[in-house]
Amino acid sequence: MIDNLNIIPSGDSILIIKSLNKITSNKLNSTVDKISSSNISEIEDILILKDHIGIFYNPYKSTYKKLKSKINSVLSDDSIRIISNKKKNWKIPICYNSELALDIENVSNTLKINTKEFIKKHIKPCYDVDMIGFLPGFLYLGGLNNSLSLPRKKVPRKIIPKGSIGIAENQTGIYNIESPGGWNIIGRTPYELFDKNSEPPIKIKQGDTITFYEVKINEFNRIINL
Amino acid sequence: MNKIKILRPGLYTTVQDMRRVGFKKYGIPKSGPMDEYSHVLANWLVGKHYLSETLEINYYGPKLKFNFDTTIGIFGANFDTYLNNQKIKINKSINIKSGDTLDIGVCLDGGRIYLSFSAKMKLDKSFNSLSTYDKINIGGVNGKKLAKNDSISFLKSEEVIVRTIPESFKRKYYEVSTIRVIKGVNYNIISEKSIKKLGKEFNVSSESDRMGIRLNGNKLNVLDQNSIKSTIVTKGTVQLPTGGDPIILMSDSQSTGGYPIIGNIARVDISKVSQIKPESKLKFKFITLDESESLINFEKRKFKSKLGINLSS
Repeated sequence: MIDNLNIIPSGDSILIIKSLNKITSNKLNSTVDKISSSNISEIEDILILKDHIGIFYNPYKSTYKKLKSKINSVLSDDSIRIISNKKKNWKIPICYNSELALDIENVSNTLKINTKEFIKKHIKPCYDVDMIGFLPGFLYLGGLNNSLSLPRKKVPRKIIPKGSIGIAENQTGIYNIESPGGWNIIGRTPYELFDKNSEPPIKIKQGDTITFYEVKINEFNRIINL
Repeated sequence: MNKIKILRPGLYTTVQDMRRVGFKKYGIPKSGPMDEYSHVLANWLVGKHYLSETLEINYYGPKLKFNFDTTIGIFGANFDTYLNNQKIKINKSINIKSGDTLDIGVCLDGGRIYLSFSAKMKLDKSFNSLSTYDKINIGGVNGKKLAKNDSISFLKSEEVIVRTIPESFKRKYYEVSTIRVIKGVNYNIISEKSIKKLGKEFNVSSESDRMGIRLNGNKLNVLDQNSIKSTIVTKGTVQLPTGGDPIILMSDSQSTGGYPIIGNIARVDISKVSQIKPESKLKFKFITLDESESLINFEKRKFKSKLGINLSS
């Protein structure tokens, strides 16, 4: 299905699947769909990262070598019906008001553009959901305009409010729970995208896309009080 | 209603089980007991499945009052423990009468102990589990560590035959623990000088928590920090942040990380890491993946043959 796949161990409970060639996120997704569809019981979780797949497994149920050969045979078996989820596009409101966008002025200064230009450049792309993780429901979004890329803050904030949208390196990200963090906060969404009382707790999936639309502070407050 | 009342919560007492599996894709960690070995044995003492819920007790324990008859199991490090003011041993199951008070005091060695009950706790599951994860307040009692005057309700107690943990399962905790570790994916970029230091003693920092155990007193460095890409991490992953002091990720750890991975603790030794108390020492001993898998296999056979526990079920 995918040529030149390289399966390597990371300790005794993680297996990493890498491609020797450049690999698209679509291919990573379809590989994961295939492995998930085969219901291998020792696999506990699968995450897709930028250019590889990480598999968490229970080493009391299988050895690395046994699991590797199972995965290899699954990947070369064309009869497995792949249950693949349709990719969705999500339209998410963002408010860039500096009361909520704690770092937007500093960030614009550092990038030597005005806030209006910053907003124009940030709101334009259709972002890819690269990954969910690091914190419950945290969304890593790829596709940030290169000219907006900048490092994490040197001193992380102790509290970043829920819904905050930040920039770090070449990604933008959404904090869906309140937490400490080092991203530059440039906006906030009034939507509650993570709900610990439902399963799944977040409907947005890795591989989906997100487009932002701007809301002013009044509209932000109206939505949040709904 | 069958209940225990928390007269004193102790330093950090939480409900934990081993059932929150499969939610890392939403950024939700497995949580669960730091010391799975002791958790499994505590559950065995009351005849419950090894994945079942226990109370994880850290460094200074709780004082509880029972209003029902039940059987409890206590296993882990040595804590100064009393039942109705009588000192008790922790390595066997104990019959409790309604009105009894259990007082688990200070820790004498190691750091954690597990308290199991023959009755099931009547608490709401969150993501298939009763494990407390206080970052988003899920599991346990109100998603938090136990507080004074909290109470936990239980279903009916099952009849249990009193059991004692066999001698060969008891552990001793030393001032210096040797921990077996498998080379990590970034082992090759550790500087030559640091490779030599890897065999020396590390100090366990008091800033450790359920997310990670921090080491210090033996700084290491890598040759090329910038070559590191984010990858998946799990309980037992040894990360090396920029400051040079390694962190061993534990039960509440995140599932991805961007720091160099210098090693992964052998699965059977993670429970030992969790019992190293702050300011004690830890030494790494590198082994291969094959060796680690043999150790797992040995542990599996021992649990099966001596206690009838199937760790792969």
